[in-house]
Amino acid sequence: MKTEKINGAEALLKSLVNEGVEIIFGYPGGSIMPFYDELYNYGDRIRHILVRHEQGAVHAAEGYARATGRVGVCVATSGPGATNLITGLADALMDSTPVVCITAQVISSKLGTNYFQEADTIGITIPVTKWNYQITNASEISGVIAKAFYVARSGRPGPVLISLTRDAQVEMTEYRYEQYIPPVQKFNEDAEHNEWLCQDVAGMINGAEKPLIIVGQGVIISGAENQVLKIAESGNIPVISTLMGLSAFPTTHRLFAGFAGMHGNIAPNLMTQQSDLILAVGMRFSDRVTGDVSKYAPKAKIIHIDIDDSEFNKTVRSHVSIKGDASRVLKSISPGVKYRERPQWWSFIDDKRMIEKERIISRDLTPVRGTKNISMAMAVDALARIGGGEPVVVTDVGQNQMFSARYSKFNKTRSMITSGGLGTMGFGLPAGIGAKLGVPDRQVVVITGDGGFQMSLQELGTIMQSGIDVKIMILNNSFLGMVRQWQELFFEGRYSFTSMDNPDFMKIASAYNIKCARIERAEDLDSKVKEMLDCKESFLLEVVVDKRENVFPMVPSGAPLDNIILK
Amino acid sequence: MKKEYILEALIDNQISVLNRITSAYMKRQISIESLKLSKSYVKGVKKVVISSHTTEEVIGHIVRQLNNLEDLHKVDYYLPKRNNHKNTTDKTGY
Ligand SMILES: Cc1cc2nc3c(=O)[nH]c(=O)nc-3n(C[C@H](O)[C@H](O)[C@H](O)COP(=O)(O)OP(=O)(O)OC[C@H]3O[C@@H](n4cnc5c(N)ncnc54)[C@H](O)[C@@H]3O)c2cc1C
Ligand SMILES: Cc1ncc(C[n+]2csc(CCOP(=O)(O)OP(=O)(O)O)c2C)c(N)n1
Repeated sequence: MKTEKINGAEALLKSLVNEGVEIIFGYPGGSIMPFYDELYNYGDRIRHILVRHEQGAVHAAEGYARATGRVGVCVATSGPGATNLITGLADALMDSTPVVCITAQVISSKLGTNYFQEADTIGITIPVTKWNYQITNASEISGVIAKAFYVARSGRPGPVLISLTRDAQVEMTEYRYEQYIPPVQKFNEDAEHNEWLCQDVAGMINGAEKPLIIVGQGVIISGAENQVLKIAESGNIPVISTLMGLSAFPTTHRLFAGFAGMHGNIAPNLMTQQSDLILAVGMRFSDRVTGDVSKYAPKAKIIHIDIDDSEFNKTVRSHVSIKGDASRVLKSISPGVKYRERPQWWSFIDDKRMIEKERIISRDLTPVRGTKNISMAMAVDALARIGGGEPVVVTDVGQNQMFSARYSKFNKTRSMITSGGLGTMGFGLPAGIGAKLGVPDRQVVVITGDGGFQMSLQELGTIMQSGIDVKIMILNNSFLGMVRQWQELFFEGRYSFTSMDNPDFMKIASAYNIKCARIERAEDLDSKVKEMLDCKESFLLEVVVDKRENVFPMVPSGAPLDNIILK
Repeated sequence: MKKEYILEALIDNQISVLNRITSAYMKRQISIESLKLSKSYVKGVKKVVISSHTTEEVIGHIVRQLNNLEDLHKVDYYLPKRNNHKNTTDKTGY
């Protein structure tokens, strides 16, 4: 069969269409122009979102991937276009997010000559990608792109970068779509797990007096939410979550005991220290979760389920480790799990919940120090009450992120999108744009600090031009709040370069033709949050919050989990 | 306890795999004592042998992480004296 010849740029577009790509986030430039020229004819098949900075493109691709579970795609030119992607690639690698980034490269005959806008993209991105590859012949495109998508989404997902030289974009080739077939060995590894071991695990759970399930992002990646729910309900077992696992389990469910770790709820951390059996699913025992590893969960037998066996015994020793996809492993465990009341365990949990309610939550949810000022917690709580747990919450990094994690409500999975491992300020706004484009029928609310917002506020231009509906809540404390908190607690109040003189955010929003409002008093909070959510287009709500607010409870870095500071 | 460990890997003939292997050492600040890249019995597949001083825990973790790499067929470590010892059986028959 003779196929018609097309150029490499079009071959790439055909491959993207064949992979089911509907949206790409990108920014043009010299070396990628042949691709953009072909893209001009593909407007009916692929929607291109013009961002304002390449970092915005990769974060938007991440937001898209995290909201949908599909691979996010972004495109940039060679040199500065490619180097601007690095932060987002590192972010996606840390948070196991499937993205494919396509960057152009100078003509292959000029590689290594300091040609205009040449950067060693492959060399630079090795440490921040799961896989990368440079294409210099148009004939490679079909096979390599298919592999790129496979690698990005398979096993433990992650970012892939494909560098495409300019000549490979213009060279003519006979295009044939090739599906990628992984090597048999790797394929089998993913499918196997030990059935009889799973039955033993069910027995261990049934025998435990103080069992605990910890859900991590792996539960969401695997689509194992219902399996977790089934095991928890059939065994009457409490569930706690990492930051990245939030929304995998409905927060209002009676079995949900909260968010674990440094700024987590009191109950989950104390439960971890008391539990005699922990079923850890799709989580990697990050240092923000464990505190002092040597004192972590001293009484518990730990069963660790993860698709990546290099996570086993990396920080925390497990008694049983099961390599496999969370959903499949849980399916094997679930039938053996039996219902047990465990009244003592539950009264321990209820007691700790009460303590947090009395000592932290009630304080967080009343205006600060007898004023009418709004606290960050009040702002997030208003969104949780009025939004009813339906919106997708996309956060930036810092105090705003921790309050979002502590006070948001989630009814649906894939509703908490945040930068966990790298903690990238500036992630929120572009990730929110990507999320909205991925799930256009859902309400998407970005919660950000005044600092982080200014790291990517140029993406308001992307919102304006693409006409999408993203809600933005700036929790403005005129400080780099999280760093200020550490300065207060651990550096004797030396506030070295953390206060911020901010611009007029209303003027900025208006300049981008985005509706906006600014509130300072608690009495305006509910009505404005409602106005924002009811608005049929984008809306920026600036909430002026107390400058001196801190996130509590807090387990100081490196301390054991029962060493909780309450104020 | 730190000892000399030998890492052996079979990789596809792709520019970036070797780099990914050495960067696993680099990011942990382990210096490589010797490194050899040679042909294997299979066309297009190369053998990498790296020696370094580190602990069993660290080299074990490096090996398990590298095992996830694309374009890498097999990776293992051993102590230099037991030259032909393999920790796992070679399923692929190289
Ligand atoms: C300011 C700040 C404060 C923070 N404070 C906290 C805190 O208090 N508490 C907290 O929890 N986090 C906190 N974090 C986040 C923290 O740094 C980590 O990102 C987070 O704890 C990791 O959660 P995780 O292990 O669930 O997710 P990931 O790091 O995403 O790990 C997911 C795991 O699931 C596995 N997996 C993937 N797919 C599958 C599958 N199909 N089946 C099975 N397994 C799979 C992966 O191999 C991986 O091991 C904070 C971050 C910041 C920036
Ligand atoms: C790109 C980047 N630079 C620096 C940091 C360190 N950092 C973590 S939180 C934080 C303060 C964030 O301030 P703001 O965005 O105003 O949010 P707040 O903590 O006040 O809610 C900083 C500077 C970071 N996480 N990311």
